[in-house]
Amino acid sequence: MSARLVEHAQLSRVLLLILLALVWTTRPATAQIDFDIVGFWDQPALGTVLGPGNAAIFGFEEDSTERADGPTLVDYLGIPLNVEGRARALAYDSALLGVPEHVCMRHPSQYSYWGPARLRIAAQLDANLDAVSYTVAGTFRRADRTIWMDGRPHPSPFAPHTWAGFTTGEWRGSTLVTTTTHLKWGWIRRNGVPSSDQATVVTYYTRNENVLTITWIVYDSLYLTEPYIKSADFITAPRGVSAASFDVEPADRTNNFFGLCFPREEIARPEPHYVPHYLPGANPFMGELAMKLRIPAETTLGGAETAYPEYREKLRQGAPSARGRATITAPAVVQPRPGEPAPDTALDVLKVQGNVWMIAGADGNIAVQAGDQGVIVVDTGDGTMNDAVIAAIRRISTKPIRYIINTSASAHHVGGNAALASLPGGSTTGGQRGALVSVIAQENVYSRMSRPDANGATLFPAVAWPSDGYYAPRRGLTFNGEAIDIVHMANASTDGDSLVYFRGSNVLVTGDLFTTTNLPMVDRAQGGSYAGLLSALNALLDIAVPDDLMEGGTYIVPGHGRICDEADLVEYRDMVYEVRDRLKTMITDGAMTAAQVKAAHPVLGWDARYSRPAWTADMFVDAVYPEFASRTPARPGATRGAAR
Amino acid sequence: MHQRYAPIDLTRTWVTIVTEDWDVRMLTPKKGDFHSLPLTRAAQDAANRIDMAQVDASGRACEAYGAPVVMRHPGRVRIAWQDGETLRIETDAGRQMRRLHFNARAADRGEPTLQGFSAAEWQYANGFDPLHVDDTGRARGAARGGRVGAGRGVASTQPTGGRLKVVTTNLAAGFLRKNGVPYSADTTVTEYYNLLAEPAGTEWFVVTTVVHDPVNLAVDYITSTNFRKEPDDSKFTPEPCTLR
Repeated sequence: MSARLVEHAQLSRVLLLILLALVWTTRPATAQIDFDIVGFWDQPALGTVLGPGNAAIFGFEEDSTERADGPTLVDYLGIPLNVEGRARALAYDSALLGVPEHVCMRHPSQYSYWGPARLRIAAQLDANLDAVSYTVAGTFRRADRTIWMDGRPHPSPFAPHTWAGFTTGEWRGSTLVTTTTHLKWGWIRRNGVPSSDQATVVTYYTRNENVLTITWIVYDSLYLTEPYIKSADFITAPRGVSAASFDVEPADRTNNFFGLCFPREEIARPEPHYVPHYLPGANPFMGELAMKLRIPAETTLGGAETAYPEYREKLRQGAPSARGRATITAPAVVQPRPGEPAPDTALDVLKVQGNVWMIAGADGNIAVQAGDQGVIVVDTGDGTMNDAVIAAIRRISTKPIRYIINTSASAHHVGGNAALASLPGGSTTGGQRGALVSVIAQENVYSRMSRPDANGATLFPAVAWPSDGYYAPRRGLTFNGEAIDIVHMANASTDGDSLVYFRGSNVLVTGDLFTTTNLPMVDRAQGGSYAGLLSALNALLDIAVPDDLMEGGTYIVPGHGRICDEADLVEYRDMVYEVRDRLKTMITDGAMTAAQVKAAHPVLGWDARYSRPAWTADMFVDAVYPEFASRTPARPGATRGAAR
Repeated sequence: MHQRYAPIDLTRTWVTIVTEDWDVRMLTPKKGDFHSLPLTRAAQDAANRIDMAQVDASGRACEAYGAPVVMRHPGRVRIAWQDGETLRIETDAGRQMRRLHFNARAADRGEPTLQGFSAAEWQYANGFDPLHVDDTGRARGAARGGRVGAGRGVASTQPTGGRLKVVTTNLAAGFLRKNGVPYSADTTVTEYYNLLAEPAGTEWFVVTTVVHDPVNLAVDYITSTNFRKEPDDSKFTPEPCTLR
């Protein structure tokens, strides 16, 4: 090679290096990085002193005291609460967590990443190694979340709700975005700020190298005026973290961080089914945080404006009534209707558990127990969809219908009696066995259905009437190898209510004693009473036994609405209990007129959730007012059999 | 180049929604209120010793608005491209200006300042890499049927997600809280900006901030702060630094 060629080659090499250098210095700063969220994730500062109390144990670097020991009572700062949400929050007495019905409550998905949590995230893979689902475990009391990635739809609106809810997800760029529905009632702050079972939570998981940031937005128009956003950070846990070491409260194995919790009484209760709560205007902690922070009491009650930067200007100027107790006015509630399932032309058939199914959509819910001996139907809907109901039953079993059990004489529940009782079939017991479908109900149901009007006509044809009424407090039946209890709940919604309990399947059918769609339905003209309804709800609670951590166990088919478990029943019972005390204070003790009671909004906190055009809060007040005004509320059992 | 291949669009005006650490963000916390901060004992002592009234009186209030904490203040931020390689963040709280440099060079750093020197990079999802895209927007090598980028399948020739990472150094010392909690000049701030969209379309960015201060912090101090996109700029209200 000549010297010139060598020189040329060297020059070319230098030029190439210069070119590469230029490319390098102008190249975009970029990196291919790992967005995967699978792994162990810890609090950012575990074991570091972050403030007073247990903050060090939990190691959060935002709101460390709130997230460890719990927030200050009546601290709603930054939460876009509406008047209903605020009313419920102010009714909250933290002693509630000391009663057996609540003590094992899990942290729901509306809140759980803000509570104590050490996350373990795993992926379940299909044959192509694509993620079918992720599981996120490690929140307080283990409301483990499964994130379905396979495109499956969310369940029927009549399906049970859980603390974790039902979640689907998809990757959008570097973020896993999930949507959670089917949530239980819960809280968005651990001091009683409520979140409803109609809430939806959208969650964003972003892995920022060794930091996992989880952002979630709660949509709950029942209690919030705008979406509520939170974000929490976790760091990659040290290598070698095992499941066995994944416990921050090892000293108390009966009530630990992740699992095991046995319902127990942690406070002395003045009555067996006592529900701690505060009446409107009586929360003793109102104003406490305001004094501590030197801000107006109204500010601590939250509201969307308290989350915006410009609110600081109001704080600088001072608020209208600084320091001290604030009064809460209750403007007319204007809320969108909640998303409870509504009757549709298409019926929904859901397996409850064991041998029991629920048919929804024919107005009142219908429960079906099926087996080798045939079919028992509890309630028959309103009768407008009989063909569809029969077809739905046939999808469950082709065996004949042997028995119909009616939980009351309500047209919403007995309307299909005639059609179903006319089908070929026949009971397996009694004098007419094999000939006719036997209709079982408390005797007062027979009286209501068969009573002629002034023209001698009855509301229902004779074939629809109970053919097998019972007078005793309870009736027992064994069918398809399963013991079935039919128990009279005297003077509750009416004077003829029955609960039906399938012991083997562990399913309760409540009729209108309990719904997820309405304010308490008390029909005094039909022998109902508020006191009796509350007693009935407590009786239902005495039968229902939850599975671990207040979920599952006994399932409940309510008169209307979705399948429930004990925790849902507790929530409803608590409402009836708290509203009872409000009505007693207003009417029995305060001698308020019905108009005054209505203006005082005695069901504030549940109005938007349960009020319906067909059964409004005002109608409810009209129905129960006389009972409270009489100062001698009806005693359960007082009219048992009186209608015969 | 970096503006052209931005995987997320952070420009516009954003407002922070204060649903976390409300008491120490919307108010000036009392002396000695260190909750949520992983401070060393020495840092606590220093915070207790300092006279913040004197700091305020001497015109040093902006030392509580440095890069480690400025995104945490309640307020609005305007984000815009200063040029194709520099993203600018302007805060109305404390009237601060940050410049995020994609082509960071040490020589540009200058003297330490409250906002320090911020080096930025895009972190792309789905295997996108601008080095594998030619000037016409086509994948280099795609004509030959070659696979480009990382990950499964053929990578996109346009970014389909990702985030912004910013590392800020060259900081002057300042305060993590208005009650005197210090951070040192040795502090490094690492931030990750992620863009989120609600189902109805409302956009947010969440900035995850990792403050590393070997002098005052026992472990890294990590927060995430949520900003919602504003419909317009009308509520952007510059205010001077204040310790009250």
